[in-house]
Amino acid sequence: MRAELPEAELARLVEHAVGGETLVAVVTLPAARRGDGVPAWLPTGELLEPVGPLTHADATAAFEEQIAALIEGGADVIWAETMSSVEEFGAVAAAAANQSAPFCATLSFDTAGRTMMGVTSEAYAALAAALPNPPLAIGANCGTGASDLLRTVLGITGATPEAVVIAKANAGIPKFVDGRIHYDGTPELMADYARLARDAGARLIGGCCGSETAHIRAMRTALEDHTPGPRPGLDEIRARCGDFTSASDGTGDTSGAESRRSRRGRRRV
Amino acid sequence: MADELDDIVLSELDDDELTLQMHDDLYDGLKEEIVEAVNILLERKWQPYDVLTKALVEGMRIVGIDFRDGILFVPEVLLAANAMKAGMAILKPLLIESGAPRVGTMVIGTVKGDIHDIGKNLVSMMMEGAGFEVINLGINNSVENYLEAIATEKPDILGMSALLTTTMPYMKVVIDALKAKGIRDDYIVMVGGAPLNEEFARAIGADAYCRDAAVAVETATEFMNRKHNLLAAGG
Repeated sequence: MRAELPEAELARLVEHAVGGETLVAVVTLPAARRGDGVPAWLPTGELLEPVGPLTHADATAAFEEQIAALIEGGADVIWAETMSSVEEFGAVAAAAANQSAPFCATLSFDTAGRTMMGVTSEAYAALAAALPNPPLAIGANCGTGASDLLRTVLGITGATPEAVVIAKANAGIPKFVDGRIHYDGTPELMADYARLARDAGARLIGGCCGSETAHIRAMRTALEDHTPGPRPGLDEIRARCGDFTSASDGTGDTSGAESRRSRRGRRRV
Repeated sequence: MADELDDIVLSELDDDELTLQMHDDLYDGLKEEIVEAVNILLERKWQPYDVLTKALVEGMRIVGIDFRDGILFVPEVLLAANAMKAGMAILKPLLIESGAPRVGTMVIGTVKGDIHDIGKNLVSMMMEGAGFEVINLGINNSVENYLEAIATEKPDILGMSALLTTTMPYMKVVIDALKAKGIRDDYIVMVGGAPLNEEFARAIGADAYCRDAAVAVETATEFMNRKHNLLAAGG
């Protein structure tokens, strides 16, 4: 007997709660299939080939199982986020294609402007646009603060102006106060971030870690009252949302970085 | 340009050139070349400890710097670490046999309730690359797991990882347990993970927050040097 799948259950609960009128999108985190053949519904920490042991076929199968369950439960859109590698995104896209499911996908750009696997905003935008089943929307979530995320949004909208772009920044950084974790981003900061995200070309704007009802409320009010402005420059972002965590966003010419190391020639090229 | 693609024959390089070539091959994650070069140096009667420190550790130090500076990313570092590991596999039994000095020992694990593995494994590999003995406890570790491993392995360093704001407070539970047993100061406690920061590490009583694997290696090395100096000074 097949046990009730948590994703299907979740999708049904959400649809019930909103009376079946609102679009239901259920967020699914990166998942993988464990070596013993048991589908795992949480990230296993496995890396995909070629740097890790998880095959494209296994990852795709695991995502497909989740997607099928979510659709069965009433989800309209599949939403994959906090991804870091091209291979992982490829598996989600393949699974969505196999299940004919519309999907959105965001990566987490948290390492010197790139994802931890080295993917740039530009490269991601180009990759998504070239798919036979491009995502409904692409973008960035989580990562390292509002300023960095806005810089990533500029990178994506710059590379693919026609794309529908998602911005979901964390509400500041987590602090440990009286034994509890508390994010230090204020609703006011998130409201200003939302305006900047809109001007940067994002059309789906939200929060990630640390965003509570007060933040979301402030963002909504800010966007409703917002008169769209020109694309913000990096200086403006820095002035309004704080400094970036890295000097560049990792796009463009990296030959300067490469030249730090003089090549001795490669064997067996 | 054709010159650059000419095959380099490792055995024809002198010691200095070969060492530099090994740094490059580590950087490029060329496993077979590293294995070959380690064997060549051993045939040339190099001490295993010198092969480890001058060729492998130094090469991984360069990889670590470029990882820290956002020039290399996780995939390249994993390939480099795998190449280093292949070289280490040859050296390890020889190092034990020759009684070579050990840099230090670390017990590392992701805390209870948290199943994130990648960052912690990267730290493990980079620490091994720097010559440390690493006991990797894996994910989802209870206080009891940490205490047992510490008692068995007698490490210099305890490393804890957490990727969730809901699991990071567990690090304090572990540190408090060490305090309660009166053994907190016997170990250097290093913590890391995406949602952590300097301030959090201080608040829970850790010795150091390490932003990434490269910083972890730098911090651990610094602490070990200080420890050795203290021992030397104290006699």
